[in-house]
Amino acid sequence: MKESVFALVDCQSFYCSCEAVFEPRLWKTPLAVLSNNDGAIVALNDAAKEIGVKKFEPFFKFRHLIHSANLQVRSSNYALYNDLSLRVMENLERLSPSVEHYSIDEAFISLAHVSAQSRDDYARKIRATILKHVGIPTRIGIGETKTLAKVAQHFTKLSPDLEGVLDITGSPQQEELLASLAIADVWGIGQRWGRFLTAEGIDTALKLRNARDAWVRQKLTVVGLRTCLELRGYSCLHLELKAPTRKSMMVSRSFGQPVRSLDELKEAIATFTAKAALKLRREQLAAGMMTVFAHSSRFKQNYYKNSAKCQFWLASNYTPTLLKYAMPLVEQIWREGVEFKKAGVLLTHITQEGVIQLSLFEDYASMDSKPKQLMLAIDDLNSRYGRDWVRFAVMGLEQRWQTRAQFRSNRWTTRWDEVMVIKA
Amino acid sequence: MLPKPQSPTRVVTLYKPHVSIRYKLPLYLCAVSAGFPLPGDDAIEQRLDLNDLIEHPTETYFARISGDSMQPAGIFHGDIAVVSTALEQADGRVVLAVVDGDMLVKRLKKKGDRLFLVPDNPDYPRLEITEYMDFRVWGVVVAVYHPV
Repeated sequence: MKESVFALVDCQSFYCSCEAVFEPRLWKTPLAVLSNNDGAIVALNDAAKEIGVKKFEPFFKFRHLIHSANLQVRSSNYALYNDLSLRVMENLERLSPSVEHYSIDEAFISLAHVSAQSRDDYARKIRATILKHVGIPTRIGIGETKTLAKVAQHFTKLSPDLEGVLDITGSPQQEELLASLAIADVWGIGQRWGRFLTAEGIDTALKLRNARDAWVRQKLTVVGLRTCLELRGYSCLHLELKAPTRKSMMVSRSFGQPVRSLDELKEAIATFTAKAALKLRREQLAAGMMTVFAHSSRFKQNYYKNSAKCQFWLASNYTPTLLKYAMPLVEQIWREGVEFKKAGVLLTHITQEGVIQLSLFEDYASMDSKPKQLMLAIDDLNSRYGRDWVRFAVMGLEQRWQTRAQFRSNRWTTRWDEVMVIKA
Repeated sequence: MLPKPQSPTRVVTLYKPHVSIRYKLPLYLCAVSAGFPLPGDDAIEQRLDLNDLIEHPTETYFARISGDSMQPAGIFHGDIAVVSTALEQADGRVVLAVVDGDMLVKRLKKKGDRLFLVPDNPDYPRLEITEYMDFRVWGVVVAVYHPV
């Protein structure tokens, strides 16, 4: 039972680091990465924190720092972040028999195969390997449970002299660390339980660890009890090695400028639908239900939101079929005079592509292979020449509503015409 | 190389997919030969793929070369360089180096404890790496894609 050892590998300021890998100057300049539509700040490097930039605040508040403090900004470049994340994970897969891709910039790995004496060296080897191969600095926390690994990782952030690795497995230091960890910073507790527990006098991780099981279970359910046991070193949360099966597929965006006309809203929804259909095909899935939604700005008067959904005769991932269902839904939710700020498409009732529930009324012949071949051809062209190079007419051409990404860096690793140019 | 996508978008052609057209193939029109099997039927292999030449795909990046300072090494202006972060930097290797934030492709040369970035083209000066410079090897250039 006590045999397990987990490490949490966390990429340092991941989005900023990805940007700096390809623009090395950015390692030392204050850098902020903006959310979709360039609205808010979603990532910062240390130099940006030092000049007072704050995460999750609106960008316009710090815009003046571009000139006065040489603040660099980048729009989020998910093509790049996803690719580098994958490269980090591929490196980890070679260094540990079991790796859980926990988020784009974090992975839990098992270190049960490494002896206690060599664990620290091994973690440093992992760090050095990822730094050399991908260029991304990481911090690694190690403990008997995932929750303790997360605790250790938290302290690597606070003490630079640890040089990115802290192993607290079986360490008498655990008690002291847990006593100095605020309850809301415990993995799985969060702000809401954090406030409740603080009000109950349990304001540190140590106090939760020492709380009575029955009380924890009653107040925080079995989920909270698991966290409590994990803090004591009993591993309850195992590595999730297989990605959970997908329950839904969502594509939504804030518009770069408000959308008023029905045609423009149709263009946007058609574009999102095509994107969602492509994602389904890539994962060999099909959807049986679609919800289309749109709303105006929450911060303006006459806030309007609406959604409409429909179920398909047959689960599908064929773009024209999904568009045929989507367009009448857009007509249902559109209102004259509304300035739409955001819209999206949600696909649910997801099934495996091959396993399609036949409908009583659908002609079996309509399931022939031509649609599939057509989409394969279109997907191939678009992956070669750029997204939406061949597109359905309803998706429009100008797409004035497109999300703003004014400061996006190149997609260095996924587009031939955007690779880095090096002086020789 | 691939053509650059046009921007801003222009309509080139509009197509309408004709998935509704079905060609009816009569059953048993072609005789089914039950006699002689295709010789070598079991010798089907995968066609060669240039990607097979890349040893460490996870550690491979691409960069376009600008300039002719490495031309004698067969690295021409406009070529695509294949850069690997898996290999170790070593004396004599062509590297992608970062010097004070600038990225350069040059040959790494060690002379005693002095370190140089040397262009293969004698028209260009070599650069000595000093302790005042922020120097790092980003990767090793392992090949170039050069259109003939």
